[in-house]
Amino acid sequence: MKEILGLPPVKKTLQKSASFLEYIALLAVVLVIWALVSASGKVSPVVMPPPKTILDTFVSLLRDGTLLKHVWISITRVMHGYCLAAVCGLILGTALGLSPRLNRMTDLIIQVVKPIPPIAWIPLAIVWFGIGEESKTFLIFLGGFFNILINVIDGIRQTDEKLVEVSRSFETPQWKFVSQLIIPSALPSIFTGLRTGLSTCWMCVIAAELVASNTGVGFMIDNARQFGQANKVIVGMIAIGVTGKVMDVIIRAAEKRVMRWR
Amino acid sequence: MALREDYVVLEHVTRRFSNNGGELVALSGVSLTVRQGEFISIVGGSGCGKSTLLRAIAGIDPDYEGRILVKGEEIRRPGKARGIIFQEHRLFPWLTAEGNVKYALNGISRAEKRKIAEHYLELVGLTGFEKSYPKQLSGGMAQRAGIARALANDPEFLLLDEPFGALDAFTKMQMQNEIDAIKRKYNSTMILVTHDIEEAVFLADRVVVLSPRPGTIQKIFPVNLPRRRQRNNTEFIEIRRAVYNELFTDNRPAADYSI
Repeated sequence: MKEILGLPPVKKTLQKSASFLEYIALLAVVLVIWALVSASGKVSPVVMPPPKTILDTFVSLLRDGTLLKHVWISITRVMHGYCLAAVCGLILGTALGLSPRLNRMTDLIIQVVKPIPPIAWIPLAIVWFGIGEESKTFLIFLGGFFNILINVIDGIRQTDEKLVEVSRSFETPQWKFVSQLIIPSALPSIFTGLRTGLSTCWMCVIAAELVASNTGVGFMIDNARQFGQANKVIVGMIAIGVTGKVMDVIIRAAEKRVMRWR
Repeated sequence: MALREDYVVLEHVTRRFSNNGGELVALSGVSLTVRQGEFISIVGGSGCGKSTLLRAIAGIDPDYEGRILVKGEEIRRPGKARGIIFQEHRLFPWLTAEGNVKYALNGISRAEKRKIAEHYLELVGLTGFEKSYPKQLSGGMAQRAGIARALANDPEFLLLDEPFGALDAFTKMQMQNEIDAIKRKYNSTMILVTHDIEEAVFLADRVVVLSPRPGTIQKIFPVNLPRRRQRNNTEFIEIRRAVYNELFTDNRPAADYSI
């Protein structure tokens, strides 16, 4: 829009920085209130450490490598479960989306299993896979799989009937019909699935690590709680939030790149 | 090669739709024989079944009664021997203009596809826009790309379903001239469905007037004027007026027509 208006560069820069200020203003306000409340001395610094302590803890955990180590372990776990979920979700979702019959046959079980939150699977996952990596991968997989599956099916179901008519009139071979019409038209929905799936996977890994693990950010914050280190807990939580946001940014960038025609 | 006299044969084509337990007869006993290389315009008001008829001939809608034969073969599904130009351009948003034309082509090499796409995009005046996505094209340009795609399989038989209804008057006339040029160049057989009487007369060898509910052939007007017709020529105006009068002899709604 701004390009169309043809604003001079200075004005453009000003507008950009103004919208950046809007973007970060609320966060700044929260930090200021937090600092003020801490400074008033009405809250114990053990229960709610001031921002300065958090920053110091963050720097020291970063320096000694603890934070990155745990975050990286969690990310690796997510990648295993998520990739599995994405591959299964895409393949099965495409099959179910293309075949109303298969979809009818599987719909009931999907609808019943889907609402069970991954956390409710933890006990069974431990019984089946123990407390090692497999049970975590399984939980992460569950978290991502249904999100991706449902969105892929929806996307494929919503293919514009008018374009399908066009395609039929050219006697298009099936593989070309799927790869050049069905999949591209389902892409927006597929990406929604991939995005919500990834954020669910990220939540699942933390939950799994809270319950049974001795590595990962989830373990890190639970461990800190046992030692009464609220500052470490908060740093861990912030790391979880930031990592989730970064993952979302990456997927959105990929989405934009893949759907250049939009 | 001799041109077939019975290129398209419609025999008592009837199409019923069930709606809310009731039955709607959209077409009733439509019979017509089209010569090869002939241009037929079908005019009629909204809901007279003209698009239904075209969809049946295209093979998109196979649930009709009666028979539709093209070159002696019964039509029950769409095929690339019949190019269709729709009211909306119906381009795939994720493919470029060239990609859209190439989508129509199957079973030939990439190089050939590119050559054909280039040829037809040039024919419709889209050279330089091969790599543009539909979003980047104007309404008229997108419709041109749609026409190039419909022509890509070299169909000797083209079906046009109110193809210029969504375009502004100026672009519309230009496109009508181009369809006329394509007709002269390839001598294709064409069936056009429209509610624009001038368009129908400008392009057709015969104008078929459909009466509504149920759609039946009310009257057929031959247009024996040489092509590159002048829209303000006396004979042209007379035929146009005759078609208009035919459509409005009864107390039929007038809202849908432009002359």
